Amino acid sequence: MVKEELDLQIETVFDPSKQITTIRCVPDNYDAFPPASIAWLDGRIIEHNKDRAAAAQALLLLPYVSGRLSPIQGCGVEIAGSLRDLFLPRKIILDHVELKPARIPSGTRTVHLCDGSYRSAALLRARRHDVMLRLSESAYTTAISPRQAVISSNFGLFARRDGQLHAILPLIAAALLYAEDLSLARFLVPVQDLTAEERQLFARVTALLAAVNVAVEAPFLQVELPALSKFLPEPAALEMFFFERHEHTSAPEDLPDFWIAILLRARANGDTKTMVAASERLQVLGQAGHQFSQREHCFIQAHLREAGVAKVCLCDKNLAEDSNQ
Amino acid sequence: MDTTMLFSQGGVRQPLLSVVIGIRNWGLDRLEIAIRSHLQSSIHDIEIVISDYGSDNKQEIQAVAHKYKCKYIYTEAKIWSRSAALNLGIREASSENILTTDADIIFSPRAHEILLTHLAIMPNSVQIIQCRDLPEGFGADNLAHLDWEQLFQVSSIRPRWGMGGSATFTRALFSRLHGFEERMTVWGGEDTDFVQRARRSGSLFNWVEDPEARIYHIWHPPDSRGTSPAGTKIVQQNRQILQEDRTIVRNLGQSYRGASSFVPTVSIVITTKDRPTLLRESVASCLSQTFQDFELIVVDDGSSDYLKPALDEFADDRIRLLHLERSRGISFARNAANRIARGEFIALHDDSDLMLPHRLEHQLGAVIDDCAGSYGGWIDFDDETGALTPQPGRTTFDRPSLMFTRTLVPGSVLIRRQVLGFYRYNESFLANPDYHLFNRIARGGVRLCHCGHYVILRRSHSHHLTGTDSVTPGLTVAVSKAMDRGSISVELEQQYKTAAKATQEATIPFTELVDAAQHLPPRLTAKRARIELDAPLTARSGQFQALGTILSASHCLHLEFATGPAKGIKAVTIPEEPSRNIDDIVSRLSTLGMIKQISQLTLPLAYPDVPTLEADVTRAGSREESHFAVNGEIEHLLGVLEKHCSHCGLIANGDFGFTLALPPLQPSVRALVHAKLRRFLTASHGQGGA
Repeated sequence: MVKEELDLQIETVFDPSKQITTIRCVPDNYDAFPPASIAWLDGRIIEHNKDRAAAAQALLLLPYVSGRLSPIQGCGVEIAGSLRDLFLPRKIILDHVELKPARIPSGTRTVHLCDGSYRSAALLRARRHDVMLRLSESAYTTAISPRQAVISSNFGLFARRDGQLHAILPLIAAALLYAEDLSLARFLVPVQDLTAEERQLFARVTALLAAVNVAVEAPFLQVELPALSKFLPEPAALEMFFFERHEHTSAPEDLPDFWIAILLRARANGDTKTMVAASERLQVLGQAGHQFSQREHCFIQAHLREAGVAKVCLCDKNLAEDSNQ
Repeated sequence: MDTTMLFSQGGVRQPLLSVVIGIRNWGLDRLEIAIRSHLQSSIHDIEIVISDYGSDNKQEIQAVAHKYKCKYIYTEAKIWSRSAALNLGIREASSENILTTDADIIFSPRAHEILLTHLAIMPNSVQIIQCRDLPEGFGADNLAHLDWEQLFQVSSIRPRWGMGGSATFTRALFSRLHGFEERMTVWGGEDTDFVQRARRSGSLFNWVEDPEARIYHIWHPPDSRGTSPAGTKIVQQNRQILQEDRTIVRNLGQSYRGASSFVPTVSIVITTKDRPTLLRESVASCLSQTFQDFELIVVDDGSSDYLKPALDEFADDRIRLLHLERSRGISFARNAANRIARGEFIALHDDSDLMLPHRLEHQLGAVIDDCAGSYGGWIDFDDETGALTPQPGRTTFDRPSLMFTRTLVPGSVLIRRQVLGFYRYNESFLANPDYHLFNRIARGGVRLCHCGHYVILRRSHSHHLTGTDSVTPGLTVAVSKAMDRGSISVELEQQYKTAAKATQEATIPFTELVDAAQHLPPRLTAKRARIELDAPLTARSGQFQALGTILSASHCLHLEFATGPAKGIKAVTIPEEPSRNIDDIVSRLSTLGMIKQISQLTLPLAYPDVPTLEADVTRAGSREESHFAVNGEIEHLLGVLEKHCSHCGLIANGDFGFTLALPPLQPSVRALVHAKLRRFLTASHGQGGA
């Protein structure tokens, strides 16, 4: 299966005996070695499309590819340009491009790609969707029902975690692999605050997915944070949302996303006391090493100042280190 | 350009880029031109560090550095090492972003900016520009003015051999790899070696292809490297390291601490609650590591007494205390520590365990290929007697091995922080959450390898975990296993069992166990003097009888018998106590035979000598000796024992004879020895008698 003489060679293997779908990669001269040599999804994928598989592989392995990309099953010329562009400013040589026209599947349903964030919680009510899909590393098996798919997978391990879009690329890759089986036509992506580089990447991701008949929509992209308030559910529903989607935590109150949601709701409702409590709590979480995007950072700082917190510091750098957790 | 992510969040202003130039006896004119090209960069926030590795014209180079406001570091050295020069330069550099280059490479004005832009987009990478060589006539003499268009026209592109004269990367990557390989001397191969290790650790290698980012090599007569026999040997040595060494982290005996932007290679993470005495011992063992580029994070999971004073006693700025006011359990505490950790690797450690001094060195040195970390064997020790139970662990880290064997203990694991950033401890598990975590990591396909050494001493005591009852740990494991096994078919489970059985236990030399015993808490050890004789003492010439006299004077002796046909006593071990005059005993022994060697040993209280320790640990937990009260017929007694035992202990009881301690014996030998001992037994013989 693995031919070492080829350059970054990636292959999606649908193994019916083990009911597992794997992406194997063999790095070459310029590639980084991923944290695991095999990326896998628990479960069989019935309908395989080589263009979508190549796009999914590229999205998943984006942080590791340099030099050459060789999807073993090949890809159509229609997506070759978008695939190469995805890696910019890296200049990638793409192998196994076929000129012969091939079917491009299409779907009808809208999927909400859930990353467990407060943005995702708001997106639930902001846009109608047919199915919600998320990845889980700690679920032992995949569970797919008409309205929800929880995919057991190690895809998330391959992600960069320094940006909202970078973090969600493995989820987009997984959704793409399932797109035909689940008749997915439109991906709702809960990103809001992207760096300049990520905004460019988002455009390239959108172009790549368009080439395989999938539309990408990010309703909150570059929207101001307070605009999300009206879509956020009640605190009890928020707790349930976060509890279900953050399997490692025993209390949603430990999650910064929970408190950002609370802060947004309190701000919309003019609840000053809760705003102060939430922003102070977020400060503590920041000092405990939780990361915030630039806009989140500014938003929290502004509320801390309003609350009269004398010293505004959201980051742990030297020794924080009394925490009220 | 978005470079904010590469800035430290600390209060000290750092330059956008540190250009580090290694140099030794190179032309000053070339250096000046190179510096000028950096200063003409489109970005102005650049720091230039000149690392002079033993130049003869130190003062002249220093003057050039001063003229252009460069940071200058001088190191006395007899042999040129580009690796060492760059490492020392990077240690002193202030920026999070590093560009290493030579004193004969010039950069086009936008090269730095484009390199930084690429690095901001791909922080986990090494950025390279393909070098162009200037022809003869474009040496230092002719480059007073840099006409970039002309330089491009006359230069020739250098093939992508090696690295082309520069490399740009983050300080975090430097810390992960722990520098350029310093075993590579002179120059050649160190750049390529650095990049290959970077790739294996997850960083990509990008050739920047932008017409505005160019670098040029200033022409100069070729150096003599590789033409002399000595030079050829160096080239071969460097190539051999490049081709054969599969490890990622290097220079483990060196430290690159000291820079304002130092990033530790390792974060040692300890969680604790209400055990300051144990914690002190544990922290002391961490600070005694042979590898020193680490930080030590102690998470206080809601102790009733504030721990800071206890840690302040160490006066070590690498220690960071995170105090949780309310106890949330070990999983929460460990996740909290991992979140604030800055090291590229995390070494998990328990507050009751002791690190052996080479732990980090051994484990970092074992991270090979694309492994994300390593683990090692552990030695359980009895907290009252110091008795040791070695646990080498299994050499295979995978799901079957974890499911059906005892592969590792979490306190012996060193793993990339990136992995623990994704796989978190489940905070619902208040105790023993490690099985669940490492099972998920193995299932995720992350590779860990066994380092081939014991790495910790693990305390056996009744309260092994912080703040939990005794039921919870077992429950956690049971639930974890049920979830794990329930997700696979019976057939697959059978396959896993078979695979697990086939895994090997690690083989670690017994000598490591003896070495490890030196690092037990002092209250659990006693010092012994081992006197080795040139020729074994025998019953002939009355040597055994004379030994009996010495024994009466010294109270306690442990005797090792020679194997083979010669028999006799080859070594005598004596406990070192203030009341005992070792010199006197040695003097008496020397009248019986030539003394070959006297060595001092620290052994656990549970063992009188090394053979007893060896016999104990090789018998899988059978620690019982047999003790007998025997009469004064030492000569005959030793005559019996030398035939059947490897060693024995004798304690003088004054007028009541001696107590004989025998090691564990094979059942048949034991029966025979006991039968032969009957004639020596006194009425009051002790436990385990015949």
